[in-house]
Amino acid sequence: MLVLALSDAHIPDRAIDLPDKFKKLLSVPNKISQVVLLDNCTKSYDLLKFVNEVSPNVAIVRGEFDNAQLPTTKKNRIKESIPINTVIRQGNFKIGCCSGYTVVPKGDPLSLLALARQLDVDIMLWGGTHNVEAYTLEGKFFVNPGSCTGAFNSDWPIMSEDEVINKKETTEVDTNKQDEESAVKSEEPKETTSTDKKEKVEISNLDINGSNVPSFCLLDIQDSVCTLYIYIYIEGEVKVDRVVFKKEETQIQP
Amino acid sequence: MSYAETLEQALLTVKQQAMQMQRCLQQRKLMDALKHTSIMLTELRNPELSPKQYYELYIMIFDSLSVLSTYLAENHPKHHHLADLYELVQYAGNVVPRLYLMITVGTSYLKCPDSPRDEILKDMIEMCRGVQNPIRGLFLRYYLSQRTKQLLPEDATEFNANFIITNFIEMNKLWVRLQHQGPLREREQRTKERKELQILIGSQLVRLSQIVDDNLSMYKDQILPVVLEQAIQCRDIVSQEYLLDAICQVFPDEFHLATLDILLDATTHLNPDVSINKIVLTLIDRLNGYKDRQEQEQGQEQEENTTSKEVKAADINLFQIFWNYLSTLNEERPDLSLQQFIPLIESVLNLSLRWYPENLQNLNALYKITTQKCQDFGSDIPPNCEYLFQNLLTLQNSESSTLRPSSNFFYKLISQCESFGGLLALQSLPLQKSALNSILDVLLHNEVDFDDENEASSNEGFLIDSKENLCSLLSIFEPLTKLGPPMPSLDRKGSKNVKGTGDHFPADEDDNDDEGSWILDPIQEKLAKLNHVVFQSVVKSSDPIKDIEFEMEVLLTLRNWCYKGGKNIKYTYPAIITNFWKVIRRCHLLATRCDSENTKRHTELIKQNFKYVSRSTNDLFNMCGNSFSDALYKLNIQSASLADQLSLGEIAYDFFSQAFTLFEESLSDSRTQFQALVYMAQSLQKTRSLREENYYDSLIVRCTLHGSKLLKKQDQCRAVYLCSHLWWTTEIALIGEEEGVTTDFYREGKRVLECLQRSLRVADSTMDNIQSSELMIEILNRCLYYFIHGDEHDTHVSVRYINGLIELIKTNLKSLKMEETTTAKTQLAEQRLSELHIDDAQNTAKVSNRFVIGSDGSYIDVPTVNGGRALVSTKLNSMYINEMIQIPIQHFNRTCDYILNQRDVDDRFKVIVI
Amino acid sequence: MSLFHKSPVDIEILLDGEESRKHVEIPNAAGSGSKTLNDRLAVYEDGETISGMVTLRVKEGKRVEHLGIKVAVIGSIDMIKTSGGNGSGNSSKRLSNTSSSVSDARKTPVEQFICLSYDLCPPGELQHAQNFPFMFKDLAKRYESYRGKNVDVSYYVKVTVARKSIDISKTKKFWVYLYKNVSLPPAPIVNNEESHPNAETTEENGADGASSSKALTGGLRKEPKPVKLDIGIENCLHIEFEFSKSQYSLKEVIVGRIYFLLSRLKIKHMELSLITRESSGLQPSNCLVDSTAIRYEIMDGSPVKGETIPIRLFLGGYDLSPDVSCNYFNVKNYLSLVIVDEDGRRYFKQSEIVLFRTR
Repeated sequence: MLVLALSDAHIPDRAIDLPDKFKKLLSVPNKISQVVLLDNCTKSYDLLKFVNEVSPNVAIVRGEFDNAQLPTTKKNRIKESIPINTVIRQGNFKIGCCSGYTVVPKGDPLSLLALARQLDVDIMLWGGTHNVEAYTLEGKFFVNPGSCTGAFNSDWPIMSEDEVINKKETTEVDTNKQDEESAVKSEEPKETTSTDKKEKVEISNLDINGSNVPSFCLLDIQDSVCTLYIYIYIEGEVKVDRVVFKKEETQIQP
Repeated sequence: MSYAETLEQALLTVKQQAMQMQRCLQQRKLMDALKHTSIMLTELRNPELSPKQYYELYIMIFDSLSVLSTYLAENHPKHHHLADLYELVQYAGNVVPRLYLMITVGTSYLKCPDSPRDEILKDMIEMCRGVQNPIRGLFLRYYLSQRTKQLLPEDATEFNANFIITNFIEMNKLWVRLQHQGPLREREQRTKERKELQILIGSQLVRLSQIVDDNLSMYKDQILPVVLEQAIQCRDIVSQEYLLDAICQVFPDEFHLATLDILLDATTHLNPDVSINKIVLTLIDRLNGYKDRQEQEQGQEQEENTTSKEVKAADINLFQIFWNYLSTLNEERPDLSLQQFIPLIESVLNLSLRWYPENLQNLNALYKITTQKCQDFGSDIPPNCEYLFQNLLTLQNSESSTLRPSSNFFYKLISQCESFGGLLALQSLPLQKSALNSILDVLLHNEVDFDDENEASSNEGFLIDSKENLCSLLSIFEPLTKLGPPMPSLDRKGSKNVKGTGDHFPADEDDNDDEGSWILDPIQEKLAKLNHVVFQSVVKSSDPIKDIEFEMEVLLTLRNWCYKGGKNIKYTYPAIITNFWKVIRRCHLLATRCDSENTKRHTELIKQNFKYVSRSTNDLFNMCGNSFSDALYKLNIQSASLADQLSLGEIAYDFFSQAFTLFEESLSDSRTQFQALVYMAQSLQKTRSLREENYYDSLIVRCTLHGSKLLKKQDQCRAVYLCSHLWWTTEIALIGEEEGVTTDFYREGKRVLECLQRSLRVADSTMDNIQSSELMIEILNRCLYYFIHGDEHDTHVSVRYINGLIELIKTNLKSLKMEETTTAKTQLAEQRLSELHIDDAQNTAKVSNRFVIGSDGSYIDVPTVNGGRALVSTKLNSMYINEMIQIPIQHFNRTCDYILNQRDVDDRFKVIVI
Repeated sequence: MSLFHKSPVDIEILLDGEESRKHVEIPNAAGSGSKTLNDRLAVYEDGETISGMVTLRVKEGKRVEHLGIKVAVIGSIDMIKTSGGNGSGNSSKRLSNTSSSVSDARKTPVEQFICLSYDLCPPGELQHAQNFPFMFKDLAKRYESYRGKNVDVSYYVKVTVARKSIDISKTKKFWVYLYKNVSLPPAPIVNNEESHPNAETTEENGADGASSSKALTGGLRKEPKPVKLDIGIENCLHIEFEFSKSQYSLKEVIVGRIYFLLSRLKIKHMELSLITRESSGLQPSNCLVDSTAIRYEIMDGSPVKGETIPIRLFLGGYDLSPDVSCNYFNVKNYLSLVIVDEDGRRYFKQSEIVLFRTR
């Protein structure tokens, strides 16, 4: 079972659309069984339409710029609240979905852990930070798919004024690039078409937006094994990371 | 001699007679063979057959006559002389069989070298006049044409051309005459029959094109004028449409290029009901195709590195020719309807796009003439030709990919062709809307995506080069800014017919003011995106250091433009604010990175931009009122965060204050209030620049205070325990902070404890036992957070306090148990209660984990099936009271498990008693 | 006459070189006694000598007494008697479409324009077969042989054995062609159509009763060649009918055209006929018989204004009668243009042409 996690699209307020390559990757009908929209994905007609085509089974949690209720369209006038948290079940996993903006302190692992405990879930999906993350804590799996559009982030930007960081080093997350066992569609490695970047004092969109690259996550869940694929869009290329999480069936008693 | 009554009989007769004829030929009984042939041919006199049936018969007879023809030619002059036979067959009493025989014998004679070719040919075509019946005449002449195909003298092109033209003219006359046969009510039937026969006429033009080969002067001087004259003179719609189309199709592109004016001039003399546009479209398709092919050839030639052929077309200004034509047409044919005229213009437009892609003046002229035409017609453009304008304005029909206009093209078109806007403005609102919508789609694809390898080079995005151009671009879209969201009550058709009503602003205002709801509006969404596209294009085109002011100017222009949308600014302003933010960050980065003397200027610019942001939020508030205040609240907080990140504490404080004001004045719904406060807490917790002047203190106290005043006890409780974090700053690794290294974290454990105690009091006083217990467990978890985070004397959260809390929870859970209804399940749960933490996980999972409580206190009904979605509700459902009771119990169990687990890594946990 | 009872003498007439001569086949008139359908007759020209041999045979062992044997050559015009003549009851019909069953027997000679004879043998007795050559030198022949409905022109050699009781005779027919000198065609006919009561508004006999015939009106121009007829029906049809000349040798081709100046008729087809008109008897009780010698479709369908339809009619293949004129009868030929419309109505126009025989 494939679960797609998208977060922080901020269309149209801060971004125009997903990268076309993402769209192409995701435009495979009947492959993805469920979509989770975490934070700020509900204001765009186009995006919701696209998501519905990926899979009609959509779970949504509310981000700070989402309204309390699902947006209405011509056809659908039913008012439905968007919750702050929700839980979905896939395989042997219960997956908690949580909007990042009600977690204090923001993105704090211990706070998230407490929430995961409260929701009694094995996997916690959260968003709001625009930074893609995945880690295991206390036997639970925490995944933040980042912003699927690389939208402007009002949080502290990754670059601070004191640090002169070579941008490339920080953004290239190609740690697990060797197992590109792509879940949806195998991405063919291409030679990087070096863009026509100006060589002067150059401030990229990346810097301005808060150094977030577009990213999303795909969870391939088979019984008690969750394989997480992280898709990152860097300089016109999609890179894929893979992380495997296995549920411990019995908890160790002292 | 008479003919059979039905087609079947006729075919049978033909078959029999043909066989007998062949038999006679084998026995060299020519006279008998001719007699059978004559009987066979009598069937072709039948007036009752439809064209299709006649054709069937004709085909069969044609084959038999071929046999005869071969025999005749082979046995001449040994067994007979064809000159004699040519006379002999003319004794046949009926004209149709006689002429078929004559042609058969005559053409056989032509095969013999000693025959007087010209005389025979002339005689045959002359005698064919005897058949004036359209169908029979057409087939007879077609027969003549087929038989003579290979036999025309090779060296006499002119003679041959005349021969074919003569035949063509007669055939066309007959064809036209067919229309007028029979009763009036069968006219349509006639037209249908004629179309079935058109290929017979077309074949003559094909023959002509074969004859003329590449002899342009002959085509131009002798063939085309005659054919066109014939077409014009017949004044028949079907014929004119077909002939002109056939001319365009049959003859080579080069000819058309050379005779374009003649051809176009001819179309002005046609029957007024002929759709000229189809003809012109065909012609232009040919010319565009020619261009394609030529470019291909040139490409190949370049590859092969051979000398390129001279390009004749380069000398001719095609557009000028068509333009003259359009002007003439416009003058001479004022009766021409829009349905006719617009497609013409569109065709010429496509021509111009294909041949002169860079020439926008052509397009401007075309739009101008269209505008005039529209004005001539008055304001009422018939609805059935609206799509024509749509096509014209959006250039939708440019079929080949090379023609498909890019965003850059549209940008240039809009900014440089003033007539485009004029024409657009003449259209009805729905039409403008849909046309603009299509154009928007193109413009929004401005960003060159590296995906499209092939198109990346050709499809350059547009670059905003001047404010004037920007303004003209924006003014084009003004009609859209004012449109309200699509109303569900009016479907598209309805709104089209009822102009102006309900399309501007939605009828039911309540809906819009409803706080929680949001109506998706694809158009406003696109406009918002357009803001981004424009801004990006400006950034791309301008010098990043110098032109910050220009960028700001553009943004202000955009803002003013959006402002015209009235309430719609709630869709578009956030995008503008985002871009102001971007400018701010850019200024900041420039200031820090370049380290130039401009720092001060940049700081000024930053402050200016924050003012714009503030102004924008004010506009939003004034325009949209309460319906948008929640988003505004958050926009203010984010602006504050941004200011804080740039160490602009004062500005940050102002924005936070604005947010509080909004909270106090405009946020009414309790859930919204709770979430808003949590967000405030989250944002404040990340600030770093507010320490001076007690900004931070006053803000966090205010925040906590609001939390403690929330309407619902559970919201108070949660808000307050979350506010405890405001006194316990945690690291932000991004700016180099590190737990244990950084020493100046703002941390006041005493306050933290106070918050926790206060929330516990609220939890305790909560009347709902389930919520009360759950809240206490949540507070316990919060205590554990601080317990991990620091020493007791820092955090003031002591083991004693935790143990006390655990005891309290246990007591509460016991009393909660009382509420359980006694069933078998309950007994099981009771049993478990006594053991509390010593549960068997499987059982628990199965029986009781149906519900959990979310971080805002909502009940989440955990789905039991794969892929299911939880039902989230704020109300407790008494139906499932037993399951609900399990929520705090299980949560407590999990917390206890956690504590037990932590004992392995942290000895301090061992003192927590559970 | 001679067949009533068995003749005691058998007469045979043989013409010189008969087998090698040109022959014509003439349809056999019923009751002429011959068993074949066609009479095959030797052809002679004007001024040609007729010679031959008469053989007389007597039945074996018999003797036949005679008063002399004569040979004669006779050219005669035979006619069916009509009201003008001996006035036989109800035959006041002037236009008789006499059927082909008319027998020679009904025709009686009205004039023997040639009757030459001489004796072959003085009176005596025939005992065995005897041959007598005969010859009529350079015999002038005024008329061409003709076999019509009411009139025949016939030539024959007659041998008569005169006896006390009944004469025994035998005839031998031959056929005469008169060739016109091509270089000197007959004088152009001066049309007397206007005076002719039937020329312009003749109802064609072949038309069925329901059809209302309309006559073609128009003047006939008198130029000898080409012949142009401008004819029409007001506001309905206006055509120009043109053919190359008014006189044709029997081997010639009629070439012409029809030009449609106005055509509101829905024409089904158009045909050209050649009509031979035999006029016999004396005015005012003469008898006219028309027969269609050629029927030739020249157009199928309905033309529009401005169309020209070509005419080409080969005469050579048909058996036609050249024009004849004499006191008792005349034969004239007419070219008739017939237009049939879609409702079956027929419109026609006749124009006299002269046919003559050339070598």
